[in-house]
Amino acid sequence: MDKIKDMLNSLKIPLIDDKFQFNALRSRLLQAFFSRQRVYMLRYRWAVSMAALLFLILVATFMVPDFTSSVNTLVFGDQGKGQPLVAENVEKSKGILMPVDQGKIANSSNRLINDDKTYLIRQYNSPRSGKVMVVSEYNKQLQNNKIKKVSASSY
Amino acid sequence: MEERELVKRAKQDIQAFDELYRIYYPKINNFVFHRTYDEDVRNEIVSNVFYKAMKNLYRFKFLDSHRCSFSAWLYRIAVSEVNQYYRDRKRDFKLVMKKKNDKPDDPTVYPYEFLYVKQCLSYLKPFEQNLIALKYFEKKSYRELSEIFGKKENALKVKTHRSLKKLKNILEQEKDHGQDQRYA
Repeated sequence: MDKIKDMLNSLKIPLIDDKFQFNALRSRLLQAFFSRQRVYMLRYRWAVSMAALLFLILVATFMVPDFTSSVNTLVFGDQGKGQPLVAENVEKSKGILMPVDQGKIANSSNRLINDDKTYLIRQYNSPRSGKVMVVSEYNKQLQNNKIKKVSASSY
Repeated sequence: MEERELVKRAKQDIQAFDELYRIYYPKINNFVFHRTYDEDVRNEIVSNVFYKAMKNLYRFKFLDSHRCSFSAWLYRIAVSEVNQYYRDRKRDFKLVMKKKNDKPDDPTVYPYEFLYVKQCLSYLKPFEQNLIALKYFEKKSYRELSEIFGKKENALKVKTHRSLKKLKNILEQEKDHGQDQRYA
């Protein structure tokens, strides 16, 4: 065994001196050099700055309530301001909640009242009839004996 | 500059990394040369070793420097890359030798004895090849080998002894079959 050890130890080991490859790889490495720590630091700084910005917005929302609306106006302009959203909703809800056959109404003896009046609808729980909807004119005192029973349904 | 300080700086400073490259390129290049037969493959593996070292340098800490020096860490990457290369290409030593039989290394450039031993070495297992290449070609101590392979020195001594025994048998067999005449 010592013989082979001596043979290996006395072996002339060639040394590769490849200057061209050394320089080529060196230039490639220098170009591709990046520091993982630097990448982490960039991400960390970005996250901290974003967190600080969000914190400032949160504080501003509490301190100056108009701040959010000003920001909203700044971002979206006057878009969507003062539009009659309620009227739209009423129209839609009529169609969904109370489907009415228009022809049936026209042929019936009922007449359409063109007065613009405001009505209040109240819902009561009746032990006998279940839920009762009560319609009354707005700004008029309700009188128990004149309450008109419009619909009654039990669920 | 102390190696520890240089490695610490190299994590952020390109000049320090360049300094490390200058120191370790010849060593890694020689080791890979002892383990491969093709110049292109050698260049590819050496490139991969340094790219990986650069990419993962931030992971290397001197907290465990008593177990692994920077040099051992680089050699560990090189060993891993060489093994990976042979695994990926599924090139066992026979295929390599078959290919190289057509175009053997030039004996006028490299010493005949070295080429002969290198050829016989390729019949051993990859781990044994790495071990002998590092021990006898790179002249690494058992302490350094234990850092590179992450094994105890005594275990490596036993492994080396067995590998040498195998190599001795192969050398004798090759001699009997007159394989060494190829380079004559």
